[in-house]
Amino acid sequence: MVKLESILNFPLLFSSMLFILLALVLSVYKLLTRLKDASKFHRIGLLFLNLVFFLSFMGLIIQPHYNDSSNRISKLLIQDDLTVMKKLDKDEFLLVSSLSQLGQLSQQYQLKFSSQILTEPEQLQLKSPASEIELIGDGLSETQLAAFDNMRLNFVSAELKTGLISPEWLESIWLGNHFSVKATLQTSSNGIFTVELVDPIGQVVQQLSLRSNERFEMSSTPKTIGNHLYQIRIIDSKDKIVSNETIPVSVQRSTPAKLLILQSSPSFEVKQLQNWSAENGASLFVRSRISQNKFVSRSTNLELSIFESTKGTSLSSRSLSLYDLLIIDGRELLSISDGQIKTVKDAIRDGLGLLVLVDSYLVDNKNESLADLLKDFPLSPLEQQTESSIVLVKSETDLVNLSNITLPIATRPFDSTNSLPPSVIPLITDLQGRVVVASSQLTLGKLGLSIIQDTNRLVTSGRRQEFSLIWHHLIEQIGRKEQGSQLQARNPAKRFTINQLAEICINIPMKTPVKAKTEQETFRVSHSFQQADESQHVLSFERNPFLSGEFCADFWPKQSGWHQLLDNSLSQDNMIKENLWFYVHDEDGWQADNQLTTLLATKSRIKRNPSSASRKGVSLPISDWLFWSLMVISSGLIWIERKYWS
Amino acid sequence: MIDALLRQFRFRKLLQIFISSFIFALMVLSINHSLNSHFNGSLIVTLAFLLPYFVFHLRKYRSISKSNLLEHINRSYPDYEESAQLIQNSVHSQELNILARLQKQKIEDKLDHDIKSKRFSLLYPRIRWKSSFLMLVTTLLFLSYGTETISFIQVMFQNRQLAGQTETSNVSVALKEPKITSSKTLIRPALYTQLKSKETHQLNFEAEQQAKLFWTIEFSNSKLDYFYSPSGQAPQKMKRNGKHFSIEDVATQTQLYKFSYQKDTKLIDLDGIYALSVIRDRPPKIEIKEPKLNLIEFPKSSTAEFNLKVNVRDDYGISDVKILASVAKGSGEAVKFRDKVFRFTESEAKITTGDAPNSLRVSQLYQRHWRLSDLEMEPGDEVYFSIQAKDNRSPNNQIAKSSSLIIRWLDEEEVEMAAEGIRIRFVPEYFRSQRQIIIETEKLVQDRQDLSIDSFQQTSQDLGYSQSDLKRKYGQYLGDEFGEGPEEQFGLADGYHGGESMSSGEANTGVEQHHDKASTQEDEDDHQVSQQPEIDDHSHEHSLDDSPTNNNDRSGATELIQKFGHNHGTIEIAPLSKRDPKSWMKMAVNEMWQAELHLMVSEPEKALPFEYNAYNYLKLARQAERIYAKRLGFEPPPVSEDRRLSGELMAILEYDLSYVDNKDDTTDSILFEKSFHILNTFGSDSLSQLEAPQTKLFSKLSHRLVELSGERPILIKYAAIAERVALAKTTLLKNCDNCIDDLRSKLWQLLPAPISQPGRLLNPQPVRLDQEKRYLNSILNESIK
Repeated sequence: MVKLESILNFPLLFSSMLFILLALVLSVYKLLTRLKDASKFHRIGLLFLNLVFFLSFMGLIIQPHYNDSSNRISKLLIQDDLTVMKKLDKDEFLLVSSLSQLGQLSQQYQLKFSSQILTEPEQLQLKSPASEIELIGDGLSETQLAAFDNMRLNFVSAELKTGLISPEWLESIWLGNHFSVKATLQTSSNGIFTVELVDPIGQVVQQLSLRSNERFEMSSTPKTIGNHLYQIRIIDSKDKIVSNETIPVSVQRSTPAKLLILQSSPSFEVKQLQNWSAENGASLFVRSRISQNKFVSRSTNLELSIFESTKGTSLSSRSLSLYDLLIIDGRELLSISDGQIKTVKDAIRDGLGLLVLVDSYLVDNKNESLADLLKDFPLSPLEQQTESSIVLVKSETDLVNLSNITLPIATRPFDSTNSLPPSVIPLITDLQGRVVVASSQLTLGKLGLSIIQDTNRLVTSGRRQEFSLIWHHLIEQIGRKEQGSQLQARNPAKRFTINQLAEICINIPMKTPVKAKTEQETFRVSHSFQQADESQHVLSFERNPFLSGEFCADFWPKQSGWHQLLDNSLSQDNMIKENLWFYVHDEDGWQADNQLTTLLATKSRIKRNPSSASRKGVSLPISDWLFWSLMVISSGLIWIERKYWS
Repeated sequence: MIDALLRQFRFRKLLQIFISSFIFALMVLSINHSLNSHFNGSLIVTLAFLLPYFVFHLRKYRSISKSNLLEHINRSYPDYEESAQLIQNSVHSQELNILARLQKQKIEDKLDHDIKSKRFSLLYPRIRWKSSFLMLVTTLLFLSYGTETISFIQVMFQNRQLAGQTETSNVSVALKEPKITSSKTLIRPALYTQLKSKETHQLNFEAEQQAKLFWTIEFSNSKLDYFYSPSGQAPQKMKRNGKHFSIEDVATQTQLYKFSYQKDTKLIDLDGIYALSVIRDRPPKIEIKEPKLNLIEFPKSSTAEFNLKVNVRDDYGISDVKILASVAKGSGEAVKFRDKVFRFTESEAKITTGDAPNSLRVSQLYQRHWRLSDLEMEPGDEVYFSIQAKDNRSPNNQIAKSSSLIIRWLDEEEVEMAAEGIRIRFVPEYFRSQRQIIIETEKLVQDRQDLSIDSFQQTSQDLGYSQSDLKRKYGQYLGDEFGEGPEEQFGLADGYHGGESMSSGEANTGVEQHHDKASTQEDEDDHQVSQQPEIDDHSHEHSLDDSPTNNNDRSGATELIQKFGHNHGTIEIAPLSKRDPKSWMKMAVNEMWQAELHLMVSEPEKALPFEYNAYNYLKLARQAERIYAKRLGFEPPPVSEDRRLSGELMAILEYDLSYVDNKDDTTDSILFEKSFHILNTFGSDSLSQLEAPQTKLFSKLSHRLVELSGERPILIKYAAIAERVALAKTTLLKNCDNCIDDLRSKLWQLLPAPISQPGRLLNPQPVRLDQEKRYLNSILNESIK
């Protein structure tokens, strides 16, 4: 039903109004003609009834409003407890947050046509215009609160839900890496709760006992590639599961690195490194010095062209540009010429990683051309042979302790006597925090120094996994970065939820100069293969003018589960790799965190309550029942008059 | 006059058409809008309906002509005497005869009168106001509530359609494919087992090895020929006995089987893959109850006698038990050995009926008293006993042999031997090693859901007993509890099992690990460890007695040297670890206590951490007991960097080699990984068909799991699921709700811990590399200037 002012914009209705008016005029004319001999009272009465009928009919169509100047307060309940439906007052409305809730209400209360259930906050003003809104329950998100701009809001918050809040985890990791989940436990009681991390097949991999507001971290290493769903369960003291959240993790194989290894003599260390790298798909070129001017080299999994350009004794910038990481021991580094050192420096500047395996020779011998390169790394000899424990430093807060492993070190730890310059980043420390492997950024590339020795021992003692973890960490951190696509959800929750609008942004590497093409790129979004129809729909991404390589689009997920972003652009390069997966959560997921988000948004909005709170009257519609009643009564009386009186 | 009437008629007709078209248009629009939310679309559809409707009714409007009107008046009013058409303008008065002119005049007057008296109002096209109003109200109501009504009708219709389809498909399936309506399998174990025959109506069942199996099956369609197809063998035609079909086979190994029927010349498989699990007859287990130690020494003056008590257990029966003795006389090169065979003098049999399969039902206790003098032994001689037991398996008995007992009658001149450092590298068949206990505990934890409660508890307790035995064995070495005889006894430090693979994560039986190119792990480890003598932080004790120098040096130089030099007394010998082996072993035994406790109360998950710790401590003990002996001989001076690699190496060639590492794709881990990936992608409710390579993969998986089920019977269930997936070529299996999820879970368990890859890190902020390079170059150039 539309208002009067919009009728002119709607030709069909306008013509209907015109038709009704014409019908009225015709009726009146016929009436007067028929009753020209009747009494005045009769004619006026009948005329009145016709007028009432037509006016009420038009009233039903036009829906006139009246201005109510009293201070009306409408209450909006936002909560999961649907039993309040039974006790709602006439000025109270229930906002359902999901279709499942709506279905539940329909089943339980058969309230399909109830006017007190809202699916969007904007409907409140339509159903019960008010000058002040009272929000009761979990609060509204920022987007939803926009419906109440320039209105005064009051908020009565609900009890905090038991669950996890402020979760953090990486949704996409490489095979062999562990993923860690950090979150805070929020409960309404003070008891001890058990938090379990459950793997994709339902086995508990880690268990913690926590109290409310304790932040925790749990980690696990997925066994294979693919899209996996871990769960975090919260169990109370009565062994009842109070919350179960899904942690989606997509595990992919990383792009194998290309390694160039130069060693002053054949060693077990490089042998094991070579074996592990080659078995896992990396490409290698290993050059070993067997005499002062003689070398033997061996390449594995290397393209012939790269092999041809690398073999030989001299390093060229072209050959170095083909590799991701150069690993060299100290003695060999001392033996290469100044010209080659410069070539290596230039290559690092262009993105190559250099990892120097420090030995006693490097410590004892000084080289002018190397002094500049190694100036940030204080090397001092060890007084006696020492072993160090191993803690991988993935970030400031992400440390991986390889328990029960100790390896010999060649020199004193880097920060044992002096503090390291800020440009130097620790990559591996011991349990006491002393740095044994560090790196520094040199323009686009990185220089890393490692004083740990004999990691090959780990392989021979059966700790192959730890060996692979150490070297994977070093190659990843020091080697040349890969330019790839990354995807993220831009909303406060940083995750996608079914039936909730989110902005999806993707970073695409720009390898070639920007061509003159349209501002929009089109990418398909495909739901996971579990659906037989493999339903797909298209998203149009717009380029972010402030950040090159970033494209964003609004995304309204209609199905939960894993989704894949596929490239549908017209450009020849496939800009998105096939393994760009993301997960859409169910509406019922992360309730505590969602509640916290809405509570904070609402409280923030309350603080900003507009001073010019609208206390003037509101426009209210006249009830339809009035018009229907008048129409029925008047038509009935007209019929009676026609039947019995004419 | 007639023209005015004609206009009136036409106007009325037009009004009628207009009103009815309008209401019709509204109705169509409201219905369309309910079905389709796009207003523009609904409008177009409405116009499409409206146009022909309007055109159709417009024909009636056009048919209102003067002549038709006059004809209509003639029909409606007899008093016009069929003469109304006379007043048409086309008929001029001069052309008419007198009668016609008179009639025309009369008609004109009449017409004029009737028009004025509105007599013709009854002939006007009627506008049905009431029905129009009702239709309008109905349309408005439909606009408000039509959507829900249509949805409701649609849902009702869909439900009825689905129900009809399901019935049709059920009926059609029933007609097309025969099914097994009843089955009975008679299992007749081999005679030697002395077990009774049993019957089962399940097609997935267990049977003893070499049991005869007799299937009797009834199919829904008894007119066809049916075949029995065990996996890896040719199909066998079943014998028809009226409505029933029978076949017999012998249970030799765990396998899958299915049934098929013949249609034309083809064999079509029936839905269902079944698993036959075979309970193997295991060799007897021998446990020497007394003496508890493996080495007993009798002093010369003692009475050299002891009791030998042995418990022999078997699945079904023991046929023979012998004592093999080998007496060694003399010493050095003059030693002579004399072998004899003895029998036990007493025995006591006990038969238990374990509920779980694979339980050792038959147990016999044997004993005999020995005097060394009866063996014609003298002080200085030794005798080695071992027990050999045969079970009653027919036709080929299985033989088990126990560990050896060494009985030594000491000569008084002989020095008491220190048993420390003696290592005997053999694995008594009776004892599991710590590594084996870990492997079997991990398997038990993984198979928990697949085993019955009794079976689970029994296996856990069995592992607990093994752990207890192992703990006792190591305890003997430590001299904790089990001293026998007048002198302190020293056990043997066996339990070290050389050649074991020590990598963690290999606790999955039968899973082939990728061949380690580092080859023999322990020897290389030893070699490397031996190259680097461990230097303590001087916290360990130095015994002053070990010092080769005496304490007569008053200058204190010796003490200084001893304090700061790394002198372990014997210069050339230095222990490797900080602790002696006994401390590590004591710690290992402590952990074994805890592990045993949890295993006995059927908590293998809690026992695992203790088992791992015990294993680690045992490894450390093994390393600790090794002694590093420095090579004696010429020590060349260290080579300076200038002289290094400067020798004549004319014969050594430089070379460049290129290899391609072909990763072995046939390993179990690759097979499990690929299968898991497919199941994880498709899930259990996907209608997508598997492609040929994927189907082949599952077939291969099924074969491999059947092979592995020999060691781990529980895997046969998953082999059957894999086979079903391969045959159905989809992951949507009928009558098997959780099968795909179960298979997926088992594959996840079988996968080894992943190895990190040598990969590159993804740059979170991708940049235009060329742009950045240009920028950096410009900065550098500026700085140079």
